[in-house]
Amino acid sequence: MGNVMMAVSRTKVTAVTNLAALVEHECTNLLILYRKQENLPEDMESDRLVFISHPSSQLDTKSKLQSLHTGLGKCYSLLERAIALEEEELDGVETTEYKNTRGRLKGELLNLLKSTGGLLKAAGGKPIKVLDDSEPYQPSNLFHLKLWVYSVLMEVKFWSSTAIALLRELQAVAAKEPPKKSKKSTRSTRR
Amino acid sequence: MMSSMVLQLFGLAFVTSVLHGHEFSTHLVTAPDLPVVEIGTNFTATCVIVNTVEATADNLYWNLSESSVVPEKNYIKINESALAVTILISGEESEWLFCICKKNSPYVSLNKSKFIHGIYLKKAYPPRRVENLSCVAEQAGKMVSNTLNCKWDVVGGQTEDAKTNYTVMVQHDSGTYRSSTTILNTTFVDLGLFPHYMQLEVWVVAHNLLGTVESEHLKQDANEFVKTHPPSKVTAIPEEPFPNSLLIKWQHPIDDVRIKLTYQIRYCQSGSHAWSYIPLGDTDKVITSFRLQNLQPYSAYVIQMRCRNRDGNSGRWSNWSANETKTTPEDRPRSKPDLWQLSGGDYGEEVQIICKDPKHANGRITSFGLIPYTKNGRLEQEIILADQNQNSSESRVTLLKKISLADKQLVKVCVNANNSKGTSPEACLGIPVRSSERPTVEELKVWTQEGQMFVEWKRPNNTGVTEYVVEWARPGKTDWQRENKTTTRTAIKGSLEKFVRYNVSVYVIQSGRIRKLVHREAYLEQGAPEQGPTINKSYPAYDNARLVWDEIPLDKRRGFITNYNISYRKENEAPKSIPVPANKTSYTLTGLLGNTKYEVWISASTVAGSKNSNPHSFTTLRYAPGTIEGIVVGVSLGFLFFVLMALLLCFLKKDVLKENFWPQIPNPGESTIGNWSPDYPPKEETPKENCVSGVSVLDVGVCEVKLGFEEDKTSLSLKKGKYLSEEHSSGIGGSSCMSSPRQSVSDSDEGPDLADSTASTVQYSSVVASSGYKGQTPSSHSQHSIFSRSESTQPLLDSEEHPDVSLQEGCRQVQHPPRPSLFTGAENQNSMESDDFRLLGVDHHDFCPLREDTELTTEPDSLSADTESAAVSSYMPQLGGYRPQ
Repeated sequence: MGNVMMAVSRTKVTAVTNLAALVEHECTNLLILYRKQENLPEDMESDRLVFISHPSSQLDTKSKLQSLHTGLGKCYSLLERAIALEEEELDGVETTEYKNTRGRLKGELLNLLKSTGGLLKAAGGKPIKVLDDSEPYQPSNLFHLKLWVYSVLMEVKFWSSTAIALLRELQAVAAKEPPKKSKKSTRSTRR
Repeated sequence: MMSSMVLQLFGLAFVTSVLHGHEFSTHLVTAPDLPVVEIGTNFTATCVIVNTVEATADNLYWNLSESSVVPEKNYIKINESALAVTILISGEESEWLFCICKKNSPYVSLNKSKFIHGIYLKKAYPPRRVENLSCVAEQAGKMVSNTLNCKWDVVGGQTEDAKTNYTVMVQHDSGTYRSSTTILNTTFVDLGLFPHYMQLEVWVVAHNLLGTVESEHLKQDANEFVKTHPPSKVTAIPEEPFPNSLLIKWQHPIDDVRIKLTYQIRYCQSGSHAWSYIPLGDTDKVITSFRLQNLQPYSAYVIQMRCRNRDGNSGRWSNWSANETKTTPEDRPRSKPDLWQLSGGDYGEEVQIICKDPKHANGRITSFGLIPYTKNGRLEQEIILADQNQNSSESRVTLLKKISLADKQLVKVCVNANNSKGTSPEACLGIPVRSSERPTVEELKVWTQEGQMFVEWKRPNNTGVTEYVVEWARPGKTDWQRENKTTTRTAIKGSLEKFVRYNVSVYVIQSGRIRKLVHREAYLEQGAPEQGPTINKSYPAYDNARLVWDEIPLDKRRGFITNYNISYRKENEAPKSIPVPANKTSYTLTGLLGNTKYEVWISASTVAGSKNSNPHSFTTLRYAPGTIEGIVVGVSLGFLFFVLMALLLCFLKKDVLKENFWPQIPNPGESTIGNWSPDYPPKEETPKENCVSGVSVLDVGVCEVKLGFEEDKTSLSLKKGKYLSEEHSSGIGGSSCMSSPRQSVSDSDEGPDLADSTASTVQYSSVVASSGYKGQTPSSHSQHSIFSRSESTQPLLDSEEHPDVSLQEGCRQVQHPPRPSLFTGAENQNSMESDDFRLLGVDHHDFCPLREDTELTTEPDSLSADTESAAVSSYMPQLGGYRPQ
């Protein structure tokens, strides 16, 4: 993990963490609006849609970031699909605020995906392409669509929360490491 | 260069081959045909002759814009049919470069258009990197705007035909965005969604026909481009237990999850603009409150805040928030009141103990505690309430007590100040033995510089100086400041007003004893007087005038009067001026003209200007002093001389006078009238018989009859004196008659001509011998005998020729124009006769004065009747008057 932090500045990690928090915040707001719009209870269960292993503590940083990045990528694909279906099936039903929030969430999730991809690249991993090769979801009816969209939003929130936790863990580990000496100062010391 | 020329030749060869295949109308071909040429570089062009042998390269020349021939030194002859030229591209205007054949052959002359070819040189500056690129995304509502506004400084020039366009590029991990192209130095980029926490790369692409160049890339976190609103709802809260602090609370202007802000707080005391800033490190946390500390109790503070992105140092600061003003809580006074004394009473027999609020009053001073001390010790404390109408401040002066110096009981007073939180430390002041003392040090400099008044004094020789007090006073207001014992020069810290005279004094405090060093009057800034002096009186004399004027009131002087200037002038003449010293209030103008009106005005001057008084006028006297007295004395002396001479003359000529004024009156008793006969030579008798009894003599030319004689006796009597003194003249040679209405006629109707001829003795007289003296009944009918005599050689008038008519007409006939000049010789005689009448007791209205016009307009008959009756009434007194004689 320390190697990752050597390759990527702390500021960058902090920025990605803040971005993950923004995504979570935006997703929370969207869920509130969605529940309000669809009259869904707050504690309603959702189906899992992203079947990627959670970045557990046993994995190394690269694997964690890979897992996170992949999960976020799946989320983004699902969200894109959800938006497309909503626009197709529910166009005119959603409020402007909902649409705006949904659009921001999509953009910020993409930014988060790109940012974690950068961290993964710095950690030696390979960022995924934002292409979902799985078969696109086709709801059987509108009710199923609404439940599916709710599940998508819950997945986005889950993975954004996962991102926050993982990145804060990275920050905490980096904070324990002694500050890295610059090359210049090393050279001057040797001289 | 050669390689480019070779390339051009290849090109030209290609063109030539193409031209050979087609019927082309021109024989000259130029190359290259570039879209634009760079200003400041050398440009080489080549001209080739094709399809003709009429001309060679030697016949070619190059022109710029058809008029300016390119010098031959710039030509390079490539071969017999090709000529190259190299020119420096200068100027921004596009122009043509022509290749022309100058051969003067018939073919060339006939086909001129075929022997010319040109290149259009469109000029441009190469694009340069823009500098100082900066972009900002402003807060819009609760979000950050998706638009990134950028501006930069353009480097390099622009030409009309090849302008440089600019495009802003923004790139981050999720995409690349570009602005619309502009030729200006500002534009915006629509990002779709503001990419919080993404690394943005921003640059400007400058592009024109000469190429493209990018500016330096800005790489920053996107939030560093954000300019948010200032912190909202900034509130300062005073907390009672903490008089030195204020708690500030605010709200984030934008959701903290989007951008994490750091805050900057600044504050100052109300009225001051010296801001104090809270270090950024104290506020770079996620906070919404902060406590300002080390503030002055009971002081109003103004607080402002701003914010920017917390991470990094290049974030854009928001604007400052609106002023939030709050006052810190009160605390007990922490310093002594400023105690001082003033001389009071008409003769300085008392001192007034005054004080200012403590410098650190820390609240509203409500009262002062005054503790007097005598030689025997402390007396009971007196509480003096502070004036609550004034704001408690350092400048408030409170009169605490008046102490009579005659008592000599108090030696010291100590004072403390109280507010709602407690009591201040005590300040003590020794009571002086005498109120006013002569200054012991003379030297005190007072001057102003840059709106401040400075005071410098000399340290007194004796030691033991505790401190100095600099006092400045204007009417109704006194203020002071304390200086430590080492100070000999200071600036007055109080607020001084311009154009106001201050009395600046320096006191020295020595072992609790106050001693005045010196004082001086001074102005912070002098101005021209607000009003001129008032000329309250002038005392004009014959050739001078003394003017007295009032000084300008102190509050209107606005400076030290340096001098007066008296200007005066006569009407329509240029004024004259006389300078007068400032200490004068009167002046005597000399060299004036008598009986002349002067206008005068006085201007009072300070170093900053002058002001005229209202004009004042006076008129000098007509006569010099003594002139009138001389005239009076002269006239008096002359009159006295005349009187004396008259008296002397009277004395010397008393016989003549007596003879004239008191002539011998003949005694009627000795009259010889009884013997008088017409045969008597009249000339011999006349001197002796001027007037005889029973004979009336009416002087000629003086008797007037007024119309309505009878009805207007009153008016007649009023004129009696006149008739007596002026219009009666005696007859000739003493012939007179006094009792007949027709006794004497002296007619002068002849007028001036006649008068000339009878200047000496033209007289007519009628002497009537009347029985009136005997019978006292004068009547026209009772007149029996009339004797008329005349010395004149003139023919007699009708009245004399016809005595009957004359007798009837009575007085009407006795009329003469009032021409005394005709009888100048007889005038004195007439007057003498009048006197004679008076002596004889004859009333003169017995005569019948006739007026000339009356005579002319009255009917003879009626007038005759009137005259007759008048004659009857008028003779009555005469009869009585003559009886005694």
